Amino acid sequence: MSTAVEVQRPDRWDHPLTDDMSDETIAWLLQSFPFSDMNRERFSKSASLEDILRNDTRLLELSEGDLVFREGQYGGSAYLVLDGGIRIVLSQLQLDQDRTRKRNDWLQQWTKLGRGLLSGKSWRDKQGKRKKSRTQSKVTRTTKAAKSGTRGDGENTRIFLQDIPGVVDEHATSEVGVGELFGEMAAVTRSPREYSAFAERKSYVLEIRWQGLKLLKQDPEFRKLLDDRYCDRILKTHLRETRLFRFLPDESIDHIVASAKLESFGNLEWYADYRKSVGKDARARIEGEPLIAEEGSYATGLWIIRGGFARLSRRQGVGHRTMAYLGKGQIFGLSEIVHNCWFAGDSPPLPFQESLRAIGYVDALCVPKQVVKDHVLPFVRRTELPPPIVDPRYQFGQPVVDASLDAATQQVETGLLEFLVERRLMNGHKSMVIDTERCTRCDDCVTACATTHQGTPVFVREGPQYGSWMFPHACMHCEDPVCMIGCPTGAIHRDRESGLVDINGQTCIGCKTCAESCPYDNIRMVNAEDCKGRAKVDTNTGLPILQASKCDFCASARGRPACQTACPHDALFRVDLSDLQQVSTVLGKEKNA
Amino acid sequence: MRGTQRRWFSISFTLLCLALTAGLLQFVRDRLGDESTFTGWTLLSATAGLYLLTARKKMIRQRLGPVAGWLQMHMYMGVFASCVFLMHIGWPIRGIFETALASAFVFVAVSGILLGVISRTTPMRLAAIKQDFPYERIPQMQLAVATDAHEVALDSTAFDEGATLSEYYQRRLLPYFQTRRGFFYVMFPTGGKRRALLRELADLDRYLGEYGVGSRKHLAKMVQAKDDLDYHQALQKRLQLMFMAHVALTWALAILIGVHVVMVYRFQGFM
Amino acid sequence: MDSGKQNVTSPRPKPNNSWVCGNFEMGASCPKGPSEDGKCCHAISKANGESPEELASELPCQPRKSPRFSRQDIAINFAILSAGILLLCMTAPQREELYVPGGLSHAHAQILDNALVSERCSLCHPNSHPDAAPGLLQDQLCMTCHTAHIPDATRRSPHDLTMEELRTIRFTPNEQQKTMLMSATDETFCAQCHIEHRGGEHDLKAMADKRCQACHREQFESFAIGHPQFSDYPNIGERRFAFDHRAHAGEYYAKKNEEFDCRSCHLDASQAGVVGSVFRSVGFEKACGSCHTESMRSEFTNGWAFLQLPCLPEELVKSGPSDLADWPLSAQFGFDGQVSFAARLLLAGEPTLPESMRHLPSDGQISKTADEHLEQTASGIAVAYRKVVREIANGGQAAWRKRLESSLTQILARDLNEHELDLVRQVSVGLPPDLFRQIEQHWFVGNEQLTQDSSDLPIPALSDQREQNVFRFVSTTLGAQDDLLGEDDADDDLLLGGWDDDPPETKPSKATKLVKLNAAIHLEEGGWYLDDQFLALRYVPRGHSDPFLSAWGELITIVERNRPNSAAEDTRHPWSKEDLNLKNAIPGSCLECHQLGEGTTSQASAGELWANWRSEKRPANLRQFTKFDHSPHLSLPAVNDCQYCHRFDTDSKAADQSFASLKALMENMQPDDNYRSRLVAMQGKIQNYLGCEFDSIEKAQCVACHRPDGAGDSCTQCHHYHVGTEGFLWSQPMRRAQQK
Repeated sequence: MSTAVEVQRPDRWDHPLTDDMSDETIAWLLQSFPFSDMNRERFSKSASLEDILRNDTRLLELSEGDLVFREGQYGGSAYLVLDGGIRIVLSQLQLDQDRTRKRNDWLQQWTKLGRGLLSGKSWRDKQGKRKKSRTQSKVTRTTKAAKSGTRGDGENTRIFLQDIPGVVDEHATSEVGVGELFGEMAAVTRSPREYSAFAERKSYVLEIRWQGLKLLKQDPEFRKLLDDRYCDRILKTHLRETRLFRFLPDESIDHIVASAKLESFGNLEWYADYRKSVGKDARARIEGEPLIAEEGSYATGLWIIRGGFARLSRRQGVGHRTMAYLGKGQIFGLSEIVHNCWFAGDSPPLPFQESLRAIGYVDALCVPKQVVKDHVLPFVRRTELPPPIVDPRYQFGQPVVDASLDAATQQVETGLLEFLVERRLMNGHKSMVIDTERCTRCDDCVTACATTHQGTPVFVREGPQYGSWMFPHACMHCEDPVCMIGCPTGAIHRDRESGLVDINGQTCIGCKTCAESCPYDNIRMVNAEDCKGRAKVDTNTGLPILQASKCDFCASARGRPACQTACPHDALFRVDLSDLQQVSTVLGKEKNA
Repeated sequence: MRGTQRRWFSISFTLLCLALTAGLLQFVRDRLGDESTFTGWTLLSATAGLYLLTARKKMIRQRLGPVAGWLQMHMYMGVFASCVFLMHIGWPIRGIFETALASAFVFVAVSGILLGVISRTTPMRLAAIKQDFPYERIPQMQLAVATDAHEVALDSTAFDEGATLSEYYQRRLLPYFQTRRGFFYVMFPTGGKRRALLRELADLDRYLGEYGVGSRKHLAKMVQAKDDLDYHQALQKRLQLMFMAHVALTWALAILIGVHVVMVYRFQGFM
Repeated sequence: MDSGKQNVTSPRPKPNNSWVCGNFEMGASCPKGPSEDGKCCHAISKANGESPEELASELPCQPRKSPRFSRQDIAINFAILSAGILLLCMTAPQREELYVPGGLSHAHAQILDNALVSERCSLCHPNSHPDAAPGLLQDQLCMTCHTAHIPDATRRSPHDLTMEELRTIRFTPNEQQKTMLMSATDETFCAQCHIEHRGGEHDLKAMADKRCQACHREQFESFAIGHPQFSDYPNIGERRFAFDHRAHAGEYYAKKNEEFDCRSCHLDASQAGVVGSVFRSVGFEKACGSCHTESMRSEFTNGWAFLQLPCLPEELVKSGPSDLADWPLSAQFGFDGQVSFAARLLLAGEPTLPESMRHLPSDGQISKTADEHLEQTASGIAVAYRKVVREIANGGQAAWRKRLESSLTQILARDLNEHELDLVRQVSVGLPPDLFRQIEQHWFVGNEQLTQDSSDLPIPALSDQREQNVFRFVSTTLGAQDDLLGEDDADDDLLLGGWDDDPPETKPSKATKLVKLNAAIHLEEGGWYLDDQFLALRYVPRGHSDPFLSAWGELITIVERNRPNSAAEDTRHPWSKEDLNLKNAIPGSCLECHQLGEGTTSQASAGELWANWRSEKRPANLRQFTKFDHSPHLSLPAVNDCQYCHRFDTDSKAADQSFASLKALMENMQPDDNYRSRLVAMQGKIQNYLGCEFDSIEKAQCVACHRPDGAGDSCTQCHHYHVGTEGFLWSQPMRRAQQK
């Protein structure tokens, strides 16, 4: 074994968000709202308000038109407006720069596809490609690209909008005034930004990373401030986002916002009770899940999932049969409402045909039936409306008959669905799957992984199995990466663009939080080694330094991950389990065929 | 599906290449050309192409397309090379050195083909077992199973339901749990032994009391588990052995080929 | 085994390490693991003086190789092993046996057997052996033994022929084709076809037919299908004897009702030739003798008047030049007598003579000379005769030879070459000078007693004898032979009769009675004698192939051939060109069969060949493109009838007529300016006719047997590849191509 190298054990706030938070700046901050009326005693010695400000915040000086962040980006920071004005673009903001870039992507994809054909890429990749291109076609539907340019260089390069008025009357926007906070939702829920924000005039903004935000939340006023700001602003954007509502005029949107109520079910840090639930039998677990809407009850409104996953289930016999799971932006109850409003005529309205349950944590929006009828349906294309419900299972005053278990009626066979949901695997965006009917257990994937990661593989070729599918313990780069919740230093973070979950070796202090909170045991603590494979040990204690290791999707190599390319039998591939469509094409169909 | 398309393409392409080579060979023959030089170099380059897979596996960091594609290439090129080999050698093969060279080639080729076959069939059989066992941990699991079984057997004696079960365990199961399977089983794993044991165990019921039946059932489970482990171990070991056989002569063959080429040219007077 | 919570700090295995902890498979591997060189970490830490306990609770182990590592290990070990074995073999004394790629064919093996093992390879393989000459090509080594068959110069070109030769036989490897060739085929080497090390039984000469067509652009499937028909095979080449097979087969043999069997003339089992025991001819005695010796003898019953004293009128003798004073009385009644060609040739040397001699008519009959010249010519010739006789009487053969030479030199207007001299010598052989002395003594000096002996036997007109000679040529072909023979018989009878019952006039004198010399009887084997009756010196040839006649014939031919064309120079020629007829100049029927003149072969000096006396024999080492051996065929009942293959020209009737007409034309051809040229042309025609008497062999006839499933039809069965031998003879079509 090569001799160990001694290093300083990384510590919290070793790497502050920025180094240029001078004392006077902090002093001035403490004077200004909201910090001025915070109660300092509430903060602990180890993490005083000053420390928080010093280490977890950064002062941004924005000139006119500068973009703070853009819709779809990932980010762990919230922003507090100290001076000037920030405008939030609720509808999709498209920059002329992107247009060109998008086109290049297309080119790349086609060339890749061609190369794939030659190099015999498996058909599964094509599935992935198709999906990607779908999303893109959706993105490129906006009216007109905003002129933009870049200023600054290096660390603080900023993209800025050139004609702000143009953007303002192009898109639905809203103003954020001094003392207001924005961008915190994405930071807290670990979800991509839902809107873009830019400086309307020269303004000062305080960036706060969410670890800091958590600490600040200890102050009740501050927490309140957060919650109040939320609804009206976010909802607008969100509704515009939703495909169903895209033709709605602004006033109807406002109506909806006014009437809609935002509810969240389950625990934001759901992995804890998930661990408890492991081993319980399915029925108990399902019934344990918080109920959003129950089958047979009045179809009072339309549910739009905003975050997390919800289980769509039916009562079958004495148990529940999972029909599907709904992810972000998917809608529940539309068909019933449409049926009642359009097709039912004078026949009695139908109740919900299925029940919706929160898997772990769900953030959902409920739009009342009447509002839907008045403000939504008029602006929806007939073709997009769901068909009338023939022979419904639930009718008031009628007995309930079990439907047949015929798999054909649903997209993915129940077994697989149940399995995915039970293991919470549907959370995975890029989950590794091994077809054990092709895998010769040659371990080439592991070796390749080791080769690309200084001799230590970052995944284990073992894991839960369903049929011939094995889901090894490799990071799935989840939709909702709970591993990030506990991280004190933000070492484990999402890549701004790709959304891949990555661990920053510099800032990881080896506290095991992520590893323990990962519901899939995909993170392991290993002895840190330097590039030469020498173990790092702490200067003081001389003990080896632990660090979290997990699959980084070979992001640095910018190709397909090594394990995937190294597999000689096309047995190992990646699937986006959050997308039922893909699950059915890749995992479902082949088995049924 | 993409897979079949690719297969047909590769097969037809290989056949095309073969036809082309055969045609060219005939042409050269009729043109008073030097046929063995022609086939020789074709064979040599094909064989060199086969070594590319090894190279690719070594260079895992470079982005040279998925190894799967390379493996496909390797397989079809292997078939091609074998056919060209048959064209190249004069029949019967004469000379000690030539024979050695040829037999080395044949060994690698045949083991390669076998490997290709079982690397397609074995995974099916492996996947037939509900759970997948990583090869390097199997002994540990076997041990676990064995100890578990042992405890069960011991416990069964605690109640006075007679020593039937423990005796049977002593006589039949202990060796089964404690020992590894033989080479024959590794080559051709079968469930015969398991079935036999399970039947015998089941027959014991008529002598066992309620508790005994419970532990018998447990033992049966253990037997099943052990057999699954053995089965997995055998199949995976067989794969590894076959692979080992395939690569064993790789470099030796390369050396022989080199000597062959050098001698040919030297003795023709061109070198 | 993912059920239950798993330890997040359990170490990740490192598959790339070549050593694995021995306890690993029991799930108790220590976190550190063994070192690169496979030492257990415990051992290491002990070496470092640390206590192993602090590492982990695991026990020390015997680390084992990771599967990947062991695979590489095995492969490398095998490689080293094989390399070692190879090196070992290199040094082994019997390494040749180990590395040789197969046994040699017996032919070569037997040569190498007694060579040293170490030298074996280097005998055929350049630089296979340290002390072999560098830069040597394998072919050159082949050539050390095989020069006999293949001239080294053309070794590397196809068929061992030079490019020029190849071009003449229309082998033009067109560029486009050559580029198609895998090997530049205008540059061949032995191993291309003769592949060794295929074991003792391997036939080095085995050759696939398709390989021939690598260059030969006329592609065809097999001998039966697509092989070109034979244009003129077997091409007899130039015939030397005018032998009319059809006439013989059809008429003469029929008349004699004998069976016409080719083998009687062409088959000689005693010796073997290029095409087996079949030959152009087996010689006159065997072939023709049975019929033709008789007639040949009968032509010369009285011999050939070589020179005959002409008759002069008495007054001319009286008043003529003093030399004529003692002219025999019996030759003194008016102008008469014939000056033979021979005499004219002899006299050609005389400076004065030619102008006087030019007035002679073509047949040399003095009496037919124009009156105004008659006297002068006659006396001139007579004087010349007188001179010649005296000269030879005194000088003997030498004088005779000198005279011949001188006249020849004058005629040819050049010195004689050795061949001609040789001929002259042959002509002088056995010439008896004493006969000339007798002429001197008896005819000129002692006239009296000669006159007594003069009898009045019916003298066959000289002209008749000449007639016979000329007439005979035609008659053979017109089938007039028998009548002629009959005539001859009659003649003989006359003679015999005349001599059986002795006439009253010839009463035996008191002088001892000598039997009168009769050529037919006394000169059975031929020779010279004096005919006192006609004052002629006569020669009786000894049947076929008489040396004197053949030599004489050649001389005449030479004289004829060298006759200048312009009339001016022609003056020195003994006879005018009108009266040429070789038949007259050359007595007997030689020319009926033999075409005198340069033969086809280069060696013109060898007399007989020069004059085509003998049939041409092909050299034994001859290798033509096409080979054929009669012997195996003749043993087959199916084809042992020669006419199975050698069929007479199909439309024999027409051919017959044409031949007849040719003859007719030839005989009544009127002497005029281009008489000679026409004659030669005519002879050529006849020659050709005889040449193509037979049809070319039908391919079908061969195909009947020569099929892949029959007698075989591979190219090499009938064709030689290596033809570049010294004795390579251009076959007829090739020669034609060459002339083009």
